[in-house]
Parts: sequence; C-alpha cells; structure tokens
Amino acid sequence: MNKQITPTYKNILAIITATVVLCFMAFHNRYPLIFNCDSAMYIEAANMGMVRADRPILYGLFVMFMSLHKSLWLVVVVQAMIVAFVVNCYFRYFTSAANYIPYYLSFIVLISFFMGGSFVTSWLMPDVFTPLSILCIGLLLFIEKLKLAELIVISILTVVSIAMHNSHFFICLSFTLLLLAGFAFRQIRYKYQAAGIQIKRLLFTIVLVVVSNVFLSAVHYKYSGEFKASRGGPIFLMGSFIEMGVVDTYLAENCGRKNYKLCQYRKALPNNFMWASKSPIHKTGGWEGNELEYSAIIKDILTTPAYLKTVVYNSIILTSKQFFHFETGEAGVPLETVVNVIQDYYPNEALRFMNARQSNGTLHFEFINHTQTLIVGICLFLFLLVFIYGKLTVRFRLLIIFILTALLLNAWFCGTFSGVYPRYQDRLVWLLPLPLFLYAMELAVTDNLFYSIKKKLNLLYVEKRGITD
Amino acid sequence: MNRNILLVIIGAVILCFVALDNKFPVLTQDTGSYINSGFTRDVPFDRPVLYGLFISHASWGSSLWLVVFSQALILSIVLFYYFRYFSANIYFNFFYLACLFFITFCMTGSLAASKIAPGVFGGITLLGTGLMLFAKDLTQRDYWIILSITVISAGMDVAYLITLVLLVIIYGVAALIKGKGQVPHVISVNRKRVLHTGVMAVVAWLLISMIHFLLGAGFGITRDKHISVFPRLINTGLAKEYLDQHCEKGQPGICAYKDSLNKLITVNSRLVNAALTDAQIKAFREIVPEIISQNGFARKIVKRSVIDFFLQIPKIRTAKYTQLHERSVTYTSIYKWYNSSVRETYLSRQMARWLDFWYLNYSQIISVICCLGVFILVFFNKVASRQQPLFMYVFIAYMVYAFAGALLYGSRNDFQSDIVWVLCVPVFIYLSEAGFKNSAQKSGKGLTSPQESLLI
Repeated sequence: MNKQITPTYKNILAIITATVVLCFMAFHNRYPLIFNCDSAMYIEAANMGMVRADRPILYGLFVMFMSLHKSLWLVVVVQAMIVAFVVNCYFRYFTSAANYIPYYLSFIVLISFFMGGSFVTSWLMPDVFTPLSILCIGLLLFIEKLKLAELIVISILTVVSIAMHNSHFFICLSFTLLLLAGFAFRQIRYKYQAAGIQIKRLLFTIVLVVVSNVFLSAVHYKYSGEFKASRGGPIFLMGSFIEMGVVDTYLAENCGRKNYKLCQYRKALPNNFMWASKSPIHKTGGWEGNELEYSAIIKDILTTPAYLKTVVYNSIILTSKQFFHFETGEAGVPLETVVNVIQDYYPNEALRFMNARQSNGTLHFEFINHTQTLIVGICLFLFLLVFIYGKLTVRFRLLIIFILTALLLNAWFCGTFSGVYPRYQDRLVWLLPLPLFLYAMELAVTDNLFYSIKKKLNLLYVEKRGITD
Repeated sequence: MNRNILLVIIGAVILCFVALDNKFPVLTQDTGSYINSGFTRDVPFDRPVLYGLFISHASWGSSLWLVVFSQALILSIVLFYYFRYFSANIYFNFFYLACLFFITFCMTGSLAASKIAPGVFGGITLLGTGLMLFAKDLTQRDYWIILSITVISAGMDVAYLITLVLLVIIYGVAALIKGKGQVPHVISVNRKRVLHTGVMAVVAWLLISMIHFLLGAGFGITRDKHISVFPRLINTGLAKEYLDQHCEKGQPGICAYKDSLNKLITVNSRLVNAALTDAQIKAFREIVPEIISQNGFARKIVKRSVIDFFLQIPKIRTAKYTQLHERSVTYTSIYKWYNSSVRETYLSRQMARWLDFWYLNYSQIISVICCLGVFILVFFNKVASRQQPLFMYVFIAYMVYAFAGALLYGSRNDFQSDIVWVLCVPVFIYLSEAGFKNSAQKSGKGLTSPQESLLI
C-alpha cells in the first residue's frame, strides 16, 4: 500500500499540540515541578560551574542554557518538544499508516492525563531523558528509512540523553550489548532480520553510547579538570548493599580483622545511608574520602560466594520490586534550599514558584496513579496474550520485547545499585502502551479498527467440548 | 516448560503486585502472633496454628517473600482450575488471565495474597469447595491437588472451617431432597460430590486437631474453647457488661482489666496472644463459662451476630494498613525470626505511611456493583443458564462466609474484603461463554437447557 504523506504543516501542528499536552502537569501546578533537593542541586552546580561528586553536570547546563537564565518554563517546553518529536517519529515511521496523527495525539493524551508522561516531562529532573534515550535507540534500530537530517538529530539526542544521568550509560550499554548478543543465536538473528534490525545500526548505536560517555567526560574535564563521566558509583552501591543487609553481616564478620573507618558505626548504619544527615559517610570523609574504602568492601563482598549469594538473591527481589514500583508524583513541598536557589537564579519567577500548587502542598496524584496502575495492568495482560497466542508480527513482538527489556534492565540497575524508588520506574512505564497504539494504527490501515478487534474477539469464542453446533 | 504451568507462575507473580509495590509483604497486627506460633510451635489460644506453620515452612525460615509467593501460587492454581473445568471455551486461558489481572488491579485479590495473614485462604477455601462440588471430569491428579489445597486452606482459620461445614450442610440437604423434586436446579448437586466434600471437611477438622494434639495443645480446632470465644465477648460488649455488673471498685484479677479489654484484641478481633499473662488466661477460663451460662446470653449473642452478619455483607472496603510500632508483636517477631528483613521492613511503603488503598476501594465498589449486575442478569434471565449453579454457589458461599465471620469475629474487621473478589470469578467464566452462547441461543441449540448445566 502506498503511504500518503501527511503534510508537514499538519505534522508540525501535531507536535506543537503534543508539546502543550505534555506540559499539562506544569500548567496544572502553575509552575514546572521540582524534586527536593535534586533540581536545586542541578541548577546550582551548573551556575557555579561545579561538578558534584554524586551527579553529572550536564542536566544542570541543559537547564541553564534552555532557560536562557530567564524562565524554567522554557526548559519544560523544550523537554516536552523533544518527547513529542521522538514519539512522533515512531508514529510516522513504524507502520505504513498514513493518517497517524489521531493515534499519535491519543497516545500523548493517554500518557499525559492518565499516566506519568506529563509529570516526567514537566519535572526539572534528567529523568525525562531515560525514556528518550530508550526511544532514540529504538528508532535507530527499528526504523531503517530515517531521513539523514532526522538520523543526525536522533543520534545527537541519543548521545545527550545518555549523558544526562549516571544510570543511563550503564542501562543503555547493557541494553545494546544484550541486543548484540542476540545476533549470536540463529533463531533470534532471523527474528531481527524479519523486524528489520541490522547489526550495522546496532553497532552504530553502541558507538553512540560510548561517545556519550566520552562526551560527558569531556564536559566534566572542562569544568573540573577531571576526565571522568560517572561519579559516586561505589557510594551508591554501598548504600544499596547496606539496604540489602549484606554490609551488616560483612562488617560483623570482618571488622575484627580489617580496620575500616566504617566499623565504628556498624551498629548504627542508617537505611538512607547516602543522604541521611547523620550518616557515617559524612563523619568519615564524605563521598570522595570514602570511595577507596567502600570500593574495597564492595570488591570483597562481590568476590566472596556467601555474600554474593545474598547480593544475587536481593538483586532479584529488588528488580521485581522496582519493576512494579512506578508511582508517579514525587514532588513534595519544596525545601528552603530549593526556594533559595530559585530566588537566586530565577528571581523574577520566585513568586510564581511560591504560589504553585506544589509549594502549597495541594498537588495530588492519586487519580493518575490509579489509572496508571490500571493501564500498566492492561498492557501487561495484552502483552502476555500476544506471546501466549503468538499474535502480531515479529516486528511488533520485538518492539514489545524491546520496551519490556528496557523496563526490566532499568528496574534491575536502579533497584540493585541505587535502591527501589518509584521515580526510577515511573520515568519509563508510560512507554508500555506505545506498541499497542502503533498496532491499533496498523490494524486501521488494513481494516476498520473496531471491526478487526471484534473479529479477533469473536475468535476467542470457540468452545472446547462440542457443546454447541 | 508446559505453557499452563508457566501461565500459573506468571499469574502468581502478578498476584504479588501489592507486595512488590509496597516493597515488602503487607503486615497486619496479627502477623506477629502467626509468625511466633509458627516458630515456637505454641498453639495460639483463639486460632489454629496451621497458618503459623505455613509461614515458617513456606518462608524456609529466611524470607517472607516466599510466603507471599506461595500464597499467590496457590491462588493462581485454584483460579486456573476454575477456568479449566468450568469454561467451555478452548481459549479459557485468556479469560483466566483476564480474571487474574482484574482481581489484581481492580479488586483486592492481590492485596489478600500479598499480606502475611490467612485472609487469602478464605477465598481459596470457597473456590476449592466449589471445584469439589461442581467440577466435571476432574483428573485424578487435579482432584488430589484441589482436595489438598482446600483442606489446608480450610484449616487456616476456624471461620473457614465453619464456612466449609455450613456449605456442606446446605448442599447436603439440597442433595438429600433432590429426588423429591423440591429443589430448584440452581442449588441441586450430585450426592457423591457432597459426600466427598463432607469427608474433606472432616479431614480438615481432623488435621488441625491432630496437629494441635501433636503440639501438646489438646485435640481440638482451638487450644482453649473458652479463651477462643473471649474476643467475641469483648467485641460484642458482653464481657464488659458482665464485669460492670459483677466487679466492685478496686477488685483485683480480671476486674482490673475491665476498662482496657479492647487492648487485649487486635482490630481484627483476635487475641494478642503474646500480651497475655498466665493470670489473665486463668481469669478468662473462669469468667467465660460464667458469661455464657447467664440468662439471655444466647439471645444476646444471636441478636448481635445477626446484626453483624448484615453489617458484614456489604463491608468490602479494605482496612488501613498503618505503620507498625517498633514494640508491636509483628515488628518484634520479624526482628526475632527474620532479622535480615528488618531493614527491608523499614523501607516499605507501609512503614513510611505511604500505603493507601483509597482508589482500590473505589474501583472495588464499582467492580462489585458490576458483578452483582451480571448476577442479577443470570438469575433473572428467562432462559436457564448453564452457569447458574456456579453463580448461586458463589453467592451462597459469600453469604455463609459473612455469617461465619460475623459469628466468630463480629463486623469490626476486613474479613469480607479478603474474599469479595470471588464474586467476579463466575462472571468471567460466564463471559468466556457469552460469545457462542448467544449464537447457540439464536439457533436454539446447546448451553441453554438445564441438562447441559454444570451438574453431573
């Protein structure tokens, strides 16, 4: 079937509409949403030109430049525009449907009003770049016929998105390497072939992932003189190991033989190890001062089978927990630090920020959380059916596997190495309905959508014991 | 791996959703008593020890996650059998999954499976009994699996056992007078099946009694018949009323607790076993027979139970799962028996006071209304449906369960919300046949005659 091209102006109009819809949560709040105190840290670090030990500077720079030092609204609009554009590419290229705009806008409405899509976009946090990096990788792999200009834009977006947060590089690298490993198996190779996934594109994507790390290192080098992308890895891992309880056992068994600074606090290790104000980490030399000691402890734990067993068991449990822990709305009443940062760097917006729903504690997410849970349940149910009954084409099935794997890897990485927090999964979970919308669009090309669904449902009514004629 | 087994396992993981979302199995005020009884082998005064033993064994003494997964797996198996044996659709898997997802995300099925409390076994008992009574052509393997699951489930709480016995009595009477043609076909059942189910109830009773006997707590379903009814006397106010009449000011012994009797029971009207002193136990043993033998006691307790029964029926909202105090029996039991999980317990949403089921309650109410709509549709349809006996069974079982709960524990608990999701099971089975039922009705064949009903 020849695809009729939707006029460019219509497409641009659709992207603008999607951008506005995606900003819904910021409009509802009357100001972009802030995360205590991380948003403030990003803004402060970038404006002071300081690379913090616990996070990359890049998102801070993004906020600083996109806001033009004037308004944080501009940051949210740019974030929404990027999301709208990338999602648009899927609807434009993934199927042969000509009239994709209604489906595209329906998807945007669903993720904005009934899931966490708008929240993630309207939040001044690099979390919005996690789904973007996954979506960009998906575009590079699944869409062969991207125009050169779009290919360049998507590649740049991939590099920048991955560099925005410490976790992105590891998630994307393990993700792409896992996909690469699939080429070693003939069965999977055939499926890749059927879905149009080429090894050339995959290798190109892996190069982009590596480039993003080099790019971030170069940015850090410019600001701190140190060519290093990821920071605070051992500290995050230590915090997670403490929550797993393995550090308690390790210290109880080893403090007699090894003279760690942490030993004197072993009976008072808080759960919130990294951020608690009275945490031993602050009493024994801070993040940088403890990196060597914690690295030694981590190495010991990971190379001792008894401890490793506990880590692996806990990792499975934490991954499962994180996978289903996707509540949206981690936007509490801002602390004084955040208010001060807004007053310092965006003084003309301070009043608006103070009057926002978030600042007044009147921002509620119960409804969205409930609908999001229902939608996730429905998506998982439908995906399960797809695989049980072998429905949909290989290409769609691979897209579903692609998104589920991304969610699973994200859950594994964040749950195991940082801890189980709803925002880690909330940032990605709204990608789940995407394959269903694309499939609905594909159905509509070949047949009337509702007729096709009815036909498929009718197929389910086949009795097993010959009761009817 | 067999596809059906894989489906059941996936179903079990989905049913653990609430626990995974909470970051730890949901804990209740009663959890501690169960955990302690499982490890110390001390039979509690007011409930069977079986659930405690289930916790200690299913957790392998190391993780409460395994308990939740085991509960979810058992529920998933029973649900699967329901669709396998009651749905005539070859795609019954589709409807099994639909029902499982529905009770997980729109009702309290997942919550029941995700908490360390025997509530989920109430629903499993009802479903298992339904299978024993109505399922056609059960294979030998499936028969024994269902029988074992139902016996163990019924043994988890006295109320489940009473429910099972009452169901056997109701269907037994119906089976006995069936021959005279006085019983509507919707509650008639094969006599052999009732006999099997009756034997199952006796086996469940014997099993619990035997376990209690072996653990040195005497041969009976509770350790002490007098103390076991004391919580009910407290929550009906009869104990307080008696003490008000018989205690003089400053009198020692049981009278000292006159104004703080409610502290001896949890929100679910169970005794806080760990808090009982020997003196209290002795005093309860003396006082309970005196209260029971009072003039008008039977009238009062029946009146109160009938009121509680009617209050219990629509009580489908789930309880609030609040933060546990560090000195609570539940917390200390986790500290003692699952020490490596203490950090995990603290990190849960429940402990952070962030566990809220407001919207789940809301969607549960809507779901129940919709299910009742289908029930009415099925019952009042002019053409008899093949599924009517199953609908009737679930309806009767729901009522009997409410009655048993009201009789033993009153209405100040979330007893009914633990099993309300069973209402949607026959609805999904009905839907699984709705498509070809319509076409069969149009052609005037199949499915509509009582001969084609579930009955053997």
